Amino acid sequence: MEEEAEIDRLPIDLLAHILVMITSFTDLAQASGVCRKWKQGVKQALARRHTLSFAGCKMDDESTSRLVRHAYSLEELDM
Amino acid sequence: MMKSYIWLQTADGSIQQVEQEVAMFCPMICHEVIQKGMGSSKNYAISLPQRVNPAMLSLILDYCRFHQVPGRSNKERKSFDEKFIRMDTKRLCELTSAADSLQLKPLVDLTSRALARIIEGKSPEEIREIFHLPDDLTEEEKLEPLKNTTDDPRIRLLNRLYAKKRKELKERQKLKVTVSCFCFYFLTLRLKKSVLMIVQLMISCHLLMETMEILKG
Repeated sequence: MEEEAEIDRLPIDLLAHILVMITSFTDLAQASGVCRKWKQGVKQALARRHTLSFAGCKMDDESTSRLVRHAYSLEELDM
Repeated sequence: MMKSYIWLQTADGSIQQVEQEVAMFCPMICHEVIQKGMGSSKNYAISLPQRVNPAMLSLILDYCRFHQVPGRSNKERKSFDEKFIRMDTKRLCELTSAADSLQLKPLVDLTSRALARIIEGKSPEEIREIFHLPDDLTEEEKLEPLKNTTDDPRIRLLNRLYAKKRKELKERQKLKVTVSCFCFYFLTLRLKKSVLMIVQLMISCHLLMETMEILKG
């Protein structure tokens, strides 16, 4: 049973990354009613939308590491 | 022509060599080679993160091998991606995890989008079934309003819907109590007269209060 819940093994910021890609808010609402972890994931996904649309002036503690990784990837593109 | 190879080691201990241009497509491997000088020989094989098992590594390298070729058109790349992504949900999750640990953002985005498409349009129950997730939220928690920091009208509408459903849920719960009280009331008809009178008085008061509340809305 534990082996099958592969998506449950994903760190929550990665789950949020997937949920950010969902465009419909009704679908997001459905996702937030799946389980406790996904409810958290949806909250983070919504917060992330806010962060991105305001050009990063709001810093989310949970996605700091991810933002740093994004910056690293951007350096790669420049090269 | 001499080809350069990079040595990689997965968590299970197995070591393999991969063409340099393919392996270097992964930022994490690139970092290990450039910053730490690792991967040049079998003894200095780069230890890959635990989430990257041999099967996932093979998939990731297939992806890298195709995309690292500079001449390809966007149409070719898109076509490859569409075929590449066709796998069962479990593998998609594993691949997302593995690609993330290697910091291969384009592949993370590709698999994430595929998973998002699977999630879209499904009810919580359907999602739980597909991904084998626990049903660990209470009825009330499932109807909690969503945080609306940007005052999005769609979220406002959703929260209004949730508020309505929460109200309905409360009414249903109250009705359950009222009905069970009625049942209890009739059961007490078998009790001793004095006790019966006291119990009936208590229930009458409770029923009266409940009815008043329901009428108040």
